[in-house]
Amino acid sequence: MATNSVVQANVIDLKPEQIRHDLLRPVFHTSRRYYALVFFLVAFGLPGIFAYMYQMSRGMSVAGITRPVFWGFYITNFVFWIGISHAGTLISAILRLVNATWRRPVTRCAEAITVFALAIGAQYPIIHLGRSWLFFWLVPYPSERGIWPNFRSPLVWDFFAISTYLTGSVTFLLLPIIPDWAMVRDRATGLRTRIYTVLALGWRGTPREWHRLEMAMRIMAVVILPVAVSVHTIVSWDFAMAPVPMWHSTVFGPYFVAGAIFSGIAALIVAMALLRKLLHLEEYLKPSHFDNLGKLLLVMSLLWLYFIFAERLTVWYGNQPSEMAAFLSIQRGRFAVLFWTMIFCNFLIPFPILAIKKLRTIAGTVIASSTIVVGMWLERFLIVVPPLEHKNLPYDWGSYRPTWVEITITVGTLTGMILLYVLFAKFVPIISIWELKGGQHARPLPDQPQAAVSRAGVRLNSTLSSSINAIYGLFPDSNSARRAVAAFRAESSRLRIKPQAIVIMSSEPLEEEGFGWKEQRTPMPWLAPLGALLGGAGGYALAAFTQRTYPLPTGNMPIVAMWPTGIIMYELTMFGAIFTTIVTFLISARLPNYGKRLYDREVTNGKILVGVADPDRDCSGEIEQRLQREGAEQVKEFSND
Amino acid sequence: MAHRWGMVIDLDRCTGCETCVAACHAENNIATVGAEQAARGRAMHWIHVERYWDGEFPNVRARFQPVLCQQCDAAPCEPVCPTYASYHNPDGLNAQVYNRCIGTRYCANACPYTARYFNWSNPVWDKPLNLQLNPDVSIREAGVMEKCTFCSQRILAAEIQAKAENREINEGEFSPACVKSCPTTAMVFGNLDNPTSQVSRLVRSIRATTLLSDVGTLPKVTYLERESSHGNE
Repeated sequence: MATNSVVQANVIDLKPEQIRHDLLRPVFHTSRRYYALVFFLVAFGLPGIFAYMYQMSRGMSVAGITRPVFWGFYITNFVFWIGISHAGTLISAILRLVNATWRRPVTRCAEAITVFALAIGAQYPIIHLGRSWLFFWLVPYPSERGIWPNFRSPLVWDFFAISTYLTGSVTFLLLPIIPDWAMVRDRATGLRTRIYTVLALGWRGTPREWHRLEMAMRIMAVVILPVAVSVHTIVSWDFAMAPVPMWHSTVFGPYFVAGAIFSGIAALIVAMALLRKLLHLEEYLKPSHFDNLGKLLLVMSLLWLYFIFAERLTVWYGNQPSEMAAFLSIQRGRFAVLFWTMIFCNFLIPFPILAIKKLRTIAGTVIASSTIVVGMWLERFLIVVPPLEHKNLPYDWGSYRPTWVEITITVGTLTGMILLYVLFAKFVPIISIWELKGGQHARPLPDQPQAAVSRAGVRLNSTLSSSINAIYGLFPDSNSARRAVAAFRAESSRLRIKPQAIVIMSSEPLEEEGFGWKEQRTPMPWLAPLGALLGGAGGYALAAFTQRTYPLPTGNMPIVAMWPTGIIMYELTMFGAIFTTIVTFLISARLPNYGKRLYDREVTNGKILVGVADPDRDCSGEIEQRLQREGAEQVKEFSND
Repeated sequence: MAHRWGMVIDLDRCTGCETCVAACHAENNIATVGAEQAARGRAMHWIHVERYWDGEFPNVRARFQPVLCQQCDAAPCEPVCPTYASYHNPDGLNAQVYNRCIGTRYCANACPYTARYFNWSNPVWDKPLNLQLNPDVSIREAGVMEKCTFCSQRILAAEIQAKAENREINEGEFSPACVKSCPTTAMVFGNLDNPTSQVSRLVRSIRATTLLSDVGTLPKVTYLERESSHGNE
């Protein structure tokens, strides 16, 4: 009984019309409060842009970074945002793979955090550059400078990892949005129609499209996981590759990944709570979602504590003078206050809240998550700054204090992130409508006599039948639609219907039985690994051949060094899989297609369209009758003119 | 005619007079940053003299150690650079190509000697220093890294001269500004690949040591420890 009630707590027990109404409302209706919020965010974000321009014109001297603390707030923010970006894809990909149904209202909020946190985080290495305007020199392309990037540099690994992750997570976010954009398109008027018509790529909701979409998402969920892990590992290697005391550590990879997921879930919970409040999504983001994510957060909090303990114990026990200087400055010196604040924020406050069921409410998890977000920022700061203040030679020690420029830019990007998120929630239903409905199939209706079906709708005009390209009916539920399909297939020879002429469209993926036929066969799952192999080979070619062509030695390393080349190959392997999946999806789902094709807006209202393309003129009347007999609410004709 | 340029600094001879620092600034067009920026740690000295105090007050003794880029054979600054601004040139020196530098400052973090300097703002020279800029050395703009080059412009000049006269570079034919200016000849410069050169002999001295040898950077700057540090003061 208890398990049953938990299951019930996750179920969103609303009518489809209600769901569409609730979730599309923010796209169509903009309140004054919304404009005020956007104005407020822009007002707080703009000074950041001016501060950045000021920094570019005056030089980095306006920032607080100095010798020997060459990295400060910017790199802290970089690591922080890339960490936050692990909210979406990881959680949503894992939950998709294990088919956890409660994920459905959560995935899109999470994936959007990933994309925007990445977009913001990736700005920081550029803001941080002494000559920002030359950042593109990290991009591998044959240039007039006769030189390629140094594939042994962790910053180049960063470029590859973040580009791959950004491509992957944008794909992961956008693919399931296409049907929802089609839904917006069918309801919009004026300029919105034109915008969403382009965005929806001509999506109609045929079984083929649904199948390819779900296949692409399945492949992407598998591909995105190793990419996400590699991204924060490589970010950690920015530090671990340098022989700086307390940086040069093998634990950094997993430690950073754990911290990233930790802060990512915390950010997701805060974002979900805000969306719930502001967009009135109480019926969708339920306490049970916060409860589930709270448990996940609890596990990550313990894992984080484990890592930080393991890291610090090793340093303390090793007792190397160079490391101990940085260690003690964090533990007892100038940074002790920040360190203990971090322990409070990341463990002492959230642990009891998340561990005690009574406290693991929406308010409880939000409090815990807010402290964790702050605590994780401090953690990144404590990784970046104190070791640089205490490098190997004591006379090179120094201290760092941020200036208003760094603080303004930090605030600016925080508001920029929120602004992007707020705008996104305006253009896209923030909860995936079709996936939400997929979670709870309508109970099959008992077979009804056809007489009860109303025949409202279009009057059939037989005189025009010479120019008819299709005849279709709109069915209220999948049972009647399936009967119609079965009838057409059974009598295909008599009604002169070619098998591929039967057209089906729906606003959610239909069960396979009775609907899909040849649509279920696609080489996509085979092409993705093939693309991956090609990507990996391309990665080797890129890294190895360019370095042999311009053999510039660095750091006593071989010209083509195995380990760094492996990293480039890894990222391009994943990029190959992602790229192939995008391309094979578009080709095999036959998107985008903006031509005039058989379609009816009622499809995104929940009706199921069953039609016959190019009907034989003599049989069209019988086809129409058949559609009506099987339960079509409306029967219409479509012509291409 | 490959060279492996190296330097030996005899700490017993160093008096901490900082002539090398002044000579380096003059030779290499190193900008002065002003008192306020210097107080914030932005001063640039490709070579700087570190002072160690031995003993407790009042029985203290000062020891000096000039520190410059150690021109490591396994330099941590080089592989981390994404644009090859920091790379190993054919003479085995850690070259810094200013035009390739985009200012990630990664090399400066990776350098265990913190021997690299960043141009936090565009360079300025207090008058009348602006009148003595060296035409052989390029000026670095804001946003790029710079560091000791072993006076690569002098190396290049000597190489060109030797090539024009179709001969090898002679021992002691040239030396970097710091070596040249050292009044106590505490610094010696030469070709480590030539077993008879003075640097090669001194590198084999029992007093020879390198800075932070445990980091494994294989520096080409060798220090001769003070006799006094062995206890025979």
